[in-house]
Amino acid sequence: MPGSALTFDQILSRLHLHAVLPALETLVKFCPEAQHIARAADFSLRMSVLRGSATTLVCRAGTLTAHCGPSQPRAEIALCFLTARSLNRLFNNQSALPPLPLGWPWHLGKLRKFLALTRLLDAHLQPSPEKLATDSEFRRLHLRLLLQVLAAAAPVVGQHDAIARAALAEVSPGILEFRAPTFDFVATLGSENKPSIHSAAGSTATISFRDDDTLAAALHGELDAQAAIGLGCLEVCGLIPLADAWGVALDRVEAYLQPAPAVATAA
Amino acid sequence: MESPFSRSHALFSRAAAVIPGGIFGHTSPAASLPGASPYFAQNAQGCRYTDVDGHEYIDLLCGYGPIILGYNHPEVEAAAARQARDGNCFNHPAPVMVELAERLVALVDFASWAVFGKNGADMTSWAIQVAREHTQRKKILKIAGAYHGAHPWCTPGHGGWIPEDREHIHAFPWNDLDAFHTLLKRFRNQVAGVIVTAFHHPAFGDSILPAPGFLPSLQDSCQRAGIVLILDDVRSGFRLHLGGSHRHFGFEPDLICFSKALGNGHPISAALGRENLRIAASKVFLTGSFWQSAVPMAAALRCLEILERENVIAHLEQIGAILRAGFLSAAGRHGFSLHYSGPDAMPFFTFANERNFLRNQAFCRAMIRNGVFLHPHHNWFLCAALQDKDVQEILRAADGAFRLLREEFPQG
Repeated sequence: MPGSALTFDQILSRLHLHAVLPALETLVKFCPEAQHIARAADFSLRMSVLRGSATTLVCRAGTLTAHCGPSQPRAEIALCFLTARSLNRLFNNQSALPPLPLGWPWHLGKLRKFLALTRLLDAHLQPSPEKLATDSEFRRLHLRLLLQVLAAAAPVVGQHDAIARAALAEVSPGILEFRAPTFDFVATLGSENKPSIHSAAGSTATISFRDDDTLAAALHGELDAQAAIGLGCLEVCGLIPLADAWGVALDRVEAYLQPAPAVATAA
Repeated sequence: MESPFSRSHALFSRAAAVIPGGIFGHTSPAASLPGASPYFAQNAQGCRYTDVDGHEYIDLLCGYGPIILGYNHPEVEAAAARQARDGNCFNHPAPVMVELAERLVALVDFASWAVFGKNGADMTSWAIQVAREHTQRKKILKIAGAYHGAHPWCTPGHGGWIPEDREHIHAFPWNDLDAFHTLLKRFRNQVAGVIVTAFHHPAFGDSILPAPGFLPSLQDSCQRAGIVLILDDVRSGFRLHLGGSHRHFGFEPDLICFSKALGNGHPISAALGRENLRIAASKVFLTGSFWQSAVPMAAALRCLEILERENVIAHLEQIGAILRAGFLSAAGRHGFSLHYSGPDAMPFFTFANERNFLRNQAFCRAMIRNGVFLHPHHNWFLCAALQDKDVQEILRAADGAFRLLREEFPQG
């Protein structure tokens, strides 16, 4: 995978913008509380780092869409951070230089709905053990969001983190498919460096989780994968070294998004 | 439906509770065919073994290489038992260590000394230390993707090593002399050693023989630059030539490392070197609690004797050629095209135009069901106990496996 080494903060800012923030789209799609907020919201927001990455969120008529690619729609509100570090501090709920607000000031009030959504996302990505243990629907959405964040983060890390790049450089490129049978989507890695949420025809390797418990253990970094494979809880087919190398990239995501992905609860 | 491997699975469940990974290393189910392959072996004899569920297999993996004469060879085991009666682990080495060193030095044309360890990586890691001591240089060149053990400088695993462990390890592609010379130029007067296998046998890939002139060119360049050329003959040693695989491929290293087949399953490795490396070798501390154990040395001595007496290498070549022709023919009958690679004594095949090994995995699953054990991602090993009738049984199983595969992959 071609790429270059970036600083820790540059990589982390890309993870925040390209992996964490887009999870709002899924949150709104599957969480009734988020849908309720989104139905009352009407905003387009672009968050960016000066001379760096950007993501635009558009929330209209109860639907939120995230745009991370090179061509993004115009936004009513644009928050431009002067440095990657200041964006990261904001995402980590630390004091930071405020971003430059660009656009029409009377739209800034619309950020309240955005902030309510980010608080909700935070609660889903970093829930209490009690909540996970007692609310199965909540747990399923938590796992879905976590898997999505990791699947979106891994290509960023695979492209720019030195350790992940070295691991991926040793294997032939290919598509790694994640299958979680209780979910209705398949995450793929390695195709155009982007995760996708459709089944990949002709994937080079496939990782299948037998159940939510195995998936949860894997996503929380608590799975003995070798043992899980032998026990039949986890299936890895195809070019196993590709899955191994992407496993390194997924492990490296944790080095950036510790203890778990978080978004700002106050801007 | 109950799994045919229910005892294996039950044992694995117990193992997973008390052993990280359940089974660690290269024999982990994760590396082969989890759920479709036995996890634990019960006993073995000749070219066959039986798993804990009572299934018998003709074995084309031979314990990943150590078994060259056949499992439980009576003469080797008798020699080991005799030594065991006298003792195995003492305050001193037993006389058999000297006998074995003398025997090996007599077999390996360029060598004037030998030392011993337990595993291949004991020797490859020590060999690069000797190269560094001898040359007083830091750099080691290796082949990209080659396996030399699980130490930090060379492990294919991703955990437990730091970039500094490999700061002076540099890789170049197999058969790529231009890349080799580029590294030599870049690290002029800094390269201590070059470590190679006799042929390239990466996991998850076709085996690749040395291109004409490749290994002699490495030898020539190393000699001119004062670099120690190390042959890691751990995997192929005694399967291609009794005196070391360099004899098979027509070159001469400065150091050679053996293990696997040396003791026909008994834990022993050896490194042998040129006279001019003796002083450096004496300065690099080499030891382990069991590295001078006498029983594996007695087994190795007898194994070497039988290898020579029975002309085992010729037998492996002959039986391997029959196997190659049979596999290719069976595949062709069912419309599959194979990349059959490696020397006949250590063959491997992949399916043409396939990168994800799904056909290899399906083929091996079917072969295991048909009573033949082989690996979908790792080269195979033949042993002397394998006879014509066994090969015919393997090829009948292969015919059935390819037929099944045709149903699973109708496009070929």
